[in-house]
Amino acid sequence: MPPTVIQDRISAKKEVRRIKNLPTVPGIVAKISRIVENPETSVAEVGRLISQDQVLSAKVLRMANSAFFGMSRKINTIPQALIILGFEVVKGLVLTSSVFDMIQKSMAGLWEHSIGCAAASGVIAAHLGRDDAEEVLVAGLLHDLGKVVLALNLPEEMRLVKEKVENEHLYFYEAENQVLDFDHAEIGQWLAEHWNLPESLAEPMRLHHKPEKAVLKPEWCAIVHIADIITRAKGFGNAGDMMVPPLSMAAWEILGLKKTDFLPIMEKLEPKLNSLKDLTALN
Amino acid sequence: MVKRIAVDLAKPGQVLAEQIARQDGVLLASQGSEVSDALIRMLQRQNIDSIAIEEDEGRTFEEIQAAYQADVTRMNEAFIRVEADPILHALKKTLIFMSMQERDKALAYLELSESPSPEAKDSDSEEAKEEEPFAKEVTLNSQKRGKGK
Repeated sequence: MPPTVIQDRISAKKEVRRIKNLPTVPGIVAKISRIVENPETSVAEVGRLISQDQVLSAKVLRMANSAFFGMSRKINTIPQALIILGFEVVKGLVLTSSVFDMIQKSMAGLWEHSIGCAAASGVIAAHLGRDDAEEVLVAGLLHDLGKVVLALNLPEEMRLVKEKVENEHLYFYEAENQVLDFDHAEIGQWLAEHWNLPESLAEPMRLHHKPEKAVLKPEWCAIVHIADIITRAKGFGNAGDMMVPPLSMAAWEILGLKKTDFLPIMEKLEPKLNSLKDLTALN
Repeated sequence: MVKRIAVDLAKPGQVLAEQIARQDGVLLASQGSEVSDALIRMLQRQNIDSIAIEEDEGRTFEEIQAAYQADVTRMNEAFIRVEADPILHALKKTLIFMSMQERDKALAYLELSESPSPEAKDSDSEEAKEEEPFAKEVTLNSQKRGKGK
């Protein structure tokens, strides 16, 4: 390998490390994290804090009332959302809403891929009878956040990655590894650390292509891994390449899935995907 | 495609594109559920006058067929590097059957491929047939996702 390429890789890596001007944590998310460190904080206080930002609250409520959760009653306020969906889920939606513009701008189709993968994660989790389906959904929503950083902070590398995907029929992560020596999963991990996201969300960001390595929440990683496959199989959105990635047998087995599960999962997912098209513009 | 229609024009078998709730928020039917005679009567009693349905019936046979062909072409490309994986192959077949609106065939295929018996091989020999353009019966059948009854 010519030294310049290696040099480039090293500098790229440095660059990402340096991206401590990584996109900053959305202010509201930082604030929420701060106030909940205080055990005295009440749901009402968190609710008030989020509600102060009306634009953000409206986005959060739109997601809370979308086909994602299939609520039987309309959720009208942030405090209601906190009670019904739980704190972690609302926090995830706040985070997603505040980076929504960033995701939209970074890569055409990535937002759609993210909501598709989120919906699929929720459907798979519910199909498995899990009571944390909403939280897994949030993990699905955020799994590709590393790509946003790549697009926004390393535009030149991004261009090379896209070129490789196009010309060599590579998966996006393969092209990333060739160009950068790391991929969006790793960037996602850095971002998660930088933003102080819980490990339960960081792990699927880091390991959705290698779910067999998961330690904390192997099932979540496995679900997001399979949700990613399903979303791509449906051709919903565009995550950088349009191909279905290889299935991790470990993920398949840990969930105890059978091929016959595909039909009920897809039947539940399809109407959700159709109505989630509304969420493609959150404003 | 979502279409809003008067409740009086609703037909059993249509699929709700939005949930239906009363003014006070009480849910009457959830999104994705199938319209039945009983549901239509109930909505009329509740003075709900319109509902949103998934509009499939607006498509002509040619449109459905073209969409199916496009789906198959797209999926062949999407699955190109994982064709050898039997589980992902089953996913692809499921999606192809669903695109043909052939739920029962999808189910039969999956059950067969799940069973460890050597019969499972046979199901693959049908492949050529399945991936051909529609058989005629499919036209008439084009409305249906899983029958509710």
